Amino acid sequence: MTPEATSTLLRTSVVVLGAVIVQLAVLTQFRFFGVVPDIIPVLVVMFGLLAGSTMGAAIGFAAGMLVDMLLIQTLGVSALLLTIGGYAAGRLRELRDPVHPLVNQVAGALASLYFSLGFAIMQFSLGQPAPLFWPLAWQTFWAAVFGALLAAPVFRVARWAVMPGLGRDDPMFRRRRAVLAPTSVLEKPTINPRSRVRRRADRLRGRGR
Amino acid sequence: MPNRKQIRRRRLTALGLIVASFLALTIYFNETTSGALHTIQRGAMEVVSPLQDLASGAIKPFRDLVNWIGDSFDAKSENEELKRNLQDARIQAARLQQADAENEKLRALLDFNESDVFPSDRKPVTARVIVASPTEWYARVTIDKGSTSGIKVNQPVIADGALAGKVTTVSPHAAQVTLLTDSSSGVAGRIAGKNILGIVKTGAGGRAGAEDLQLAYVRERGEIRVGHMVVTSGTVTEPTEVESLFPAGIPIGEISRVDSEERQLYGRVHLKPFVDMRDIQIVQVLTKAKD
Repeated sequence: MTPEATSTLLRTSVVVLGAVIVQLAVLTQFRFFGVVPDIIPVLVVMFGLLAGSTMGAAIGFAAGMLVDMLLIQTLGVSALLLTIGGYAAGRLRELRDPVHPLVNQVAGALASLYFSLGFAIMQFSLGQPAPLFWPLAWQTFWAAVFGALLAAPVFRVARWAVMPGLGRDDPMFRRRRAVLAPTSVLEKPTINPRSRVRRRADRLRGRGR
Repeated sequence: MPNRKQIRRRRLTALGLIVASFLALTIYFNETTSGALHTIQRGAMEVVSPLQDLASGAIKPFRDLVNWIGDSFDAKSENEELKRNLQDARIQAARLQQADAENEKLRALLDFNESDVFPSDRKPVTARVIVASPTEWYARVTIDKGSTSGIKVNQPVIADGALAGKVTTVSPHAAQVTLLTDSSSGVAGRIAGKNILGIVKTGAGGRAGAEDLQLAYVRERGEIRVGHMVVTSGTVTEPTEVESLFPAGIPIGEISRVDSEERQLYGRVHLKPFVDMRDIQIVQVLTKAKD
């Protein structure tokens, strides 16, 4: 294992364990509008966006298992949801390479929304008696808002953790992907409008006129 | 571009983790509480509970301040102008009030220790809440005392002098308490001073039911009015037939709504618990003194 990989692994382990403890011991003590902010889905998605699908899935699995274990709830529910979430975020980064300034906020909100709804569906499937609809809807809405608000600091922490392994792939500095891969069989690969290749082509075309 | 080998490895990793999650879920769901995964869970809780305890203790002053801000935010809608003028004074007062409330709680617990309402074979163990369930689906908290303090599964848990729930998982230095508002809870209760029995349970799971419990399966005739106190009956069915996990006479809540049609059709009335289940910080576990 290279020193960069070892360093990334160590940092990631510390961040994931620290985040789970902060979530359970600190954030559960605070309720804003009656809802506890959840940083774990946001963190997993940020890791996926930064380090790709394999790492996203692995971190999602580890964080989910830790949460399920420490909350003494059905083992595997959070792990399953977060594995899929981390993998999906990683694939998004590998295929589409989103670069909009608000991509982290949108990803954070969607991660929280996905986790809240996914958790509800899993609990329904397992026969857990459901809370009333409105408290659940209220919790889901605010979870998405908190997800968006927490995205920026969580992204910073996740970036610090994977920094040694990122190298020139750091999203803050790296070049944009030239070609966006299709996300379905119906779609064709397209030139990334934000890539340097496209911008240079546009410039040349403009000069030609 | 990733080569075929990398793509296969990526897919296999994701698939393997998803299958592992499903396996864990299936095994956990089918095994008993003494099964391997439950034991690992208790072990993990034991290992991490000192860290959680530390983190929970460290943020206490900040939590008190934020809780106070949350409370005053709700009240602000009632008298916005006046509260703005008094804000500075309130920040000072909040700190004092918080300390005062905690002092009162501890005093109440001390009185409770010394009272003889509960059987003499019960020894109360005071514990602090270090983790609360973050979702609407569960109403459970983790406390910083475990089997080394004499805590065992199914022991009743008291907060603010009223029943809060029961112990459901124990490790040496931590335990999980399932609150009355959890959808899996059920306690045999009676209207204080009357022979009207029922089962106290939540109509909706988690914090959704925090304000509204039900006294269900009420069969006996007799008047039930708003404000009547509900206490633990000490028996599960008729008096003296089957002993309940909870000693008789522990206050649970007071009747908040009686719908005569609902009572006739479904045999249930509504009650509001005495304990604020969303803000439990200190609890007492009634352990057996002679164990």
